[in-house]
Amino acid sequence: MKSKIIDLGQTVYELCMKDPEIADILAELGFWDITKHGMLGTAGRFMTIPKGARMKDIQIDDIKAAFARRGYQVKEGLS
Amino acid sequence: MSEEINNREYRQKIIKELIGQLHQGKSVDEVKQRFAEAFEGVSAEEISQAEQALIADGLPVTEVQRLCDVHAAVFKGSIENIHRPADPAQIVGHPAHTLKRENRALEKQIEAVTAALEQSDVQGLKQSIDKLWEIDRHYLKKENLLFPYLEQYGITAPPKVMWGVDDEVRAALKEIKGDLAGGELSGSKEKINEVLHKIGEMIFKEENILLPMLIENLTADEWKRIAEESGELGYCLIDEVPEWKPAVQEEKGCQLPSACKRAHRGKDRGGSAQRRKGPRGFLDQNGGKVRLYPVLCRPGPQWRIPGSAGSDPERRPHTGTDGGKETGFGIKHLYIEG
Repeated sequence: MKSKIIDLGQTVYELCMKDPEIADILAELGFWDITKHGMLGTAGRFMTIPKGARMKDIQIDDIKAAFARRGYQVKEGLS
Repeated sequence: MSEEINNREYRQKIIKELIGQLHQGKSVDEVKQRFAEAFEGVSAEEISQAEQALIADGLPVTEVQRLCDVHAAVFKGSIENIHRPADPAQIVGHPAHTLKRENRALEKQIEAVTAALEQSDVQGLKQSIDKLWEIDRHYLKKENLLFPYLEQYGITAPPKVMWGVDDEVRAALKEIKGDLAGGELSGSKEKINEVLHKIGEMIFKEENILLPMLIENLTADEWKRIAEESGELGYCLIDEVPEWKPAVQEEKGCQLPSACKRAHRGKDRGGSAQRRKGPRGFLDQNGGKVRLYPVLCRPGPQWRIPGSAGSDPERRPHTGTDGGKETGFGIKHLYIEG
């Protein structure tokens, strides 16, 4: 089975464009705003998962676990 | 040193050559390549100096104008790359810097509220929450000076979402003030913590999403206008902001000496300053009781009427529109308290 990779250094926009399922997972984790119409292509270009986690006070480990459960591999990015 | 001089002379020679070619009828595109090659990695400043030297030597201003087209065509992208201030938010007086200054002051005020809350100091809490209300001015500037530009650039969702949260903060602060006036503290604790959290999150969004978005899109003259109008709307928890004087050349997006600017006067360059119009300032009316803020904008942000409830920006009515036939923009009026 091909494992999917989440690069934490990429913007949310880049990640979700490649794989729309990521948007659903992020919304479930509490990142509501990026699911709003028009946000992904605008605010999403400046947002990374680590930044969003800091902002929303969501534990990065919880995020990693949620992605792992869906078969994703999390790759540490530069930011 | 002599190599520098040689290079300078070489570049002046190239410029003369290119002007000659333009004169002979070559198009901007044709000379663009040569220009780019010769001036790759060279600062726009040096190019300006080269042009200035030529003008001093007697180059007609009209020729300089033609060069401006090439210059702009070649450097539209790279002027920003070469000359982008390290970070506009570090320039004192720049609206981005002011926004951050106000945020730092807001963070201090949040600490003051938290401290009063922890000590169950009702008086202290009343005072610190009252002071925190200056955030209204901070949000007002953001909504009326910054958002219209984003909307013009087609970035419509983030302003709407942020404005919604701004209104939630305002509503919450009003409610808390009401509770505290009645001496009520116990029920307010959770509300206070929630609003402080929202404000903190908004500060993060402003500095990590809003500012980078604006910095990416706005021109220097647009920022300048925002700086001027910010002064009129007032500041939040900070003292006077020194006047910011961007280099005039930067405003045109083309670093040309004053002779060129004279040549351009009266001619519509059709550049960014023309295309992107922003808010214009405000009028005083009714002896200052009600202020009208005419702003140019495309269908976009709805304007706030004092006392109007609701955090849904969609529901707020327009308070009046003007023809705006020339530019195709409408003028909407904003009423604010005060």
